[in-house]
Amino acid sequence: MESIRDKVAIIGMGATKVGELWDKGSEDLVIDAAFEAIQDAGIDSKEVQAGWVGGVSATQGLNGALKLSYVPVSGVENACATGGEVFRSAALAVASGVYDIVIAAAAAKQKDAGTTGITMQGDPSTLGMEAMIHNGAVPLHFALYATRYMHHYGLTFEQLKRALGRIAVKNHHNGTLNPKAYFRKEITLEEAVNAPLIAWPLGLYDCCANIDGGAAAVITTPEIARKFRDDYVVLKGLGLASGWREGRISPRYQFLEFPENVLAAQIAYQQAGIVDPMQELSHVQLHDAFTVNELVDYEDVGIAPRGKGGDYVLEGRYDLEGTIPVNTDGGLKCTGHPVPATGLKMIYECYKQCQGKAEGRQVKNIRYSLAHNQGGLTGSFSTICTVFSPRD
Amino acid sequence: MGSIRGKVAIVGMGCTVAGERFDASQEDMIVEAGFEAIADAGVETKDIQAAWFGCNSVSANHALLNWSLKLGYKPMTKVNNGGASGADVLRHACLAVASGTFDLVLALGIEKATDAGFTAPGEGGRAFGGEGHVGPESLFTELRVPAQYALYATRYAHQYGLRPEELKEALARIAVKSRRAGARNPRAALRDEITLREALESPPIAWPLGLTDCCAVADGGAAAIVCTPEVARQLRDDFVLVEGLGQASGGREGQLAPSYSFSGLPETALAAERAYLMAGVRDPLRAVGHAQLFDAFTLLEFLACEDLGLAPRGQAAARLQAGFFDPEGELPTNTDGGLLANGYQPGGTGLRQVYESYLQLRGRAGPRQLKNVTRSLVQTQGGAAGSFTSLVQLFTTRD
Repeated sequence: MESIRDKVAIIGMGATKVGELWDKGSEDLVIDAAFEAIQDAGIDSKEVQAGWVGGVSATQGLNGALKLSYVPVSGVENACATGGEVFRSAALAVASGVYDIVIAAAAAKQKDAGTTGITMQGDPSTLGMEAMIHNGAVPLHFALYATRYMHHYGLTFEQLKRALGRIAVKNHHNGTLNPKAYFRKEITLEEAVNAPLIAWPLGLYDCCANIDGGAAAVITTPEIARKFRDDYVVLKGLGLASGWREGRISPRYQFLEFPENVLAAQIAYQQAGIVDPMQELSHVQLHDAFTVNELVDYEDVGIAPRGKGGDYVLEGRYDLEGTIPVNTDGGLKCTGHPVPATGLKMIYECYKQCQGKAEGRQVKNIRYSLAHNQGGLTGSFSTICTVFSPRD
Repeated sequence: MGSIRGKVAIVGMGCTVAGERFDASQEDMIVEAGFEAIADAGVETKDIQAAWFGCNSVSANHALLNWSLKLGYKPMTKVNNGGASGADVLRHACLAVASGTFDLVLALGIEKATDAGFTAPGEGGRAFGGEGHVGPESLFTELRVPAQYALYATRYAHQYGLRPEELKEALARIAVKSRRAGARNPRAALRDEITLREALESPPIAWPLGLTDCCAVADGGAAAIVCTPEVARQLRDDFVLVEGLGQASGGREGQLAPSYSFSGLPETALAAERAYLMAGVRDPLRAVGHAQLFDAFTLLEFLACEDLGLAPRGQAAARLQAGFFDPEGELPTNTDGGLLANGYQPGGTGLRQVYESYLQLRGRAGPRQLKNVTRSLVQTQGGAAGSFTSLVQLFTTRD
């Protein structure tokens, strides 16, 4: 096994504005995101040799929309980590040496689905303990981690809510600085803490919204990237870990961490040569589908010691001006969760930060930027961690 | 663009019995194919570094694979490419090994269609989700699958001046050939031979295609252990090398362009060109000793032969009648019975086709074994009329 470090570069990215996009179909979103990426890369669409997509059909969703002439296209899925997986598949293909320039694109059109969140279809073959987890709405899954976190670290309800609320306040502030965000308003800690409950202890501001959106990346080798632009971005590490239901069948499962996160981050850091993430990471995008998800992620990816995530966020360490700014684009909290596209949207922010083009939310002196994209359900997640650096 | 040749090997495979598997769940079939492949490769589950999974009938992610095999917290990915999902699963595994990131990985695909409550794709709803299609496009998206391929059959007959009886007889001969091969394959879904007369008189499904011209939707799947040639050498003497991976995906050209021929699949021709280039094959007819073609419908075997350069345009029927594609002929095709005898399992079909190549190249195909096969071709496709994804994969015996 070798590292993927320095074998793959991003030369162009696009992301649509997210929101309730009643005037767009999923193919429109693919077109908007992909042509922004192609234009940003400064290539001709004829130069794309292969494609990967999420959220739309493989054969027609990309080539049918973009009219890329007969290039090979594949669809990949990894639940809420589909966007990260689309990127990963494209990156592995470039690293294989078989393709030079490829595209990764994804789009979600969830508002047309007639639901306001991810519907959980009870699998009739799922019984007992498993059914509780399998058939519960998503906020319930993450509430299990929140209550356990409180219990284990001896936090009161108020203490936990303050920490979670602070995450929402931070992400809402960052969202106001991102023209492509969905929610673009500040909230106060008071509002966050007192918001209506969704799944105790999670309230309205602890949950992200499922909305429409698309994102795309043009990926190549660093050698080719040099020909197209000076400020390409280099992939340094790529880790994926997938659960096997441990959390549903093992009484030892802690509900205090996501083992998939820990492993995926470890692999990515090892490939990138990162020894101390707390010192070396300059910018981080975490999968904050729920604020408690971001809280646990701090600890899983090693930017807070266990049990200290709440203190650290309250101290402002993850603010734009903090030591490691987290979710500078507003996170899923403010840019929503267009499920198959979310991972690519997170990488879009890493890309802009590495290029120094994140405008009002730019982090200074980026060395390593991490995107953490997590999919699945309680006890069995798939997490993809990607580490990027500006070109050397 | 580079080649995959010399970078990837297959060291183990497993394949379920196909059919109406009311005795097995999805998980059971994953275990059946997966552990056979693992045992065949002589590895342990802990040696598998990553996995790719195909199963069109479950959504979301890889989870079913890891839940069934308990491979631990390894990277896993679900691949979707319509009817070509199984073939694309193998392609992803090969690309990942070629990238150097992984040394030994698993590619597995299954489908469990009989429990889904329908007997064919598209029944009880639109075949391909026809989201908001109107006008000429809806003609394709609203048509059942046999009706889509019937369009190619009638056009093929017209183009090459075949009378309806001639076309029917040529198609029937493919059905007879595949079912004869299926009868010799203990893992096939349909193991009864049929006569030419039975094929000719089978009830029409979508004229000119009759019942025996259409494959059945069946349960089943297959798995492969894919690794670098260096690792393969340590595991077994008779591994198989991946020599070419060609793929082409349409963008609805056939649904939009008046010039679309309906007498061949440009996707297959291009995928073949790419695979041959990678493998350094100049004359496929001489170079390929065995071929597994996507015969979901009999006619598709003709189109594939011509698109792949295994028969001149319009000549596939004549070649078939002359016994060219029989097990004793110059270029045996679908020696496992093809989809016509093994059924259609979109998540697994491509891998099941490769399973036969894997056996043939290693001399392990039992009563179906061909002599002196050193290069085998597998063609798989998914999609709908006018817009397919086609994969052409080339395999050789170890050097």
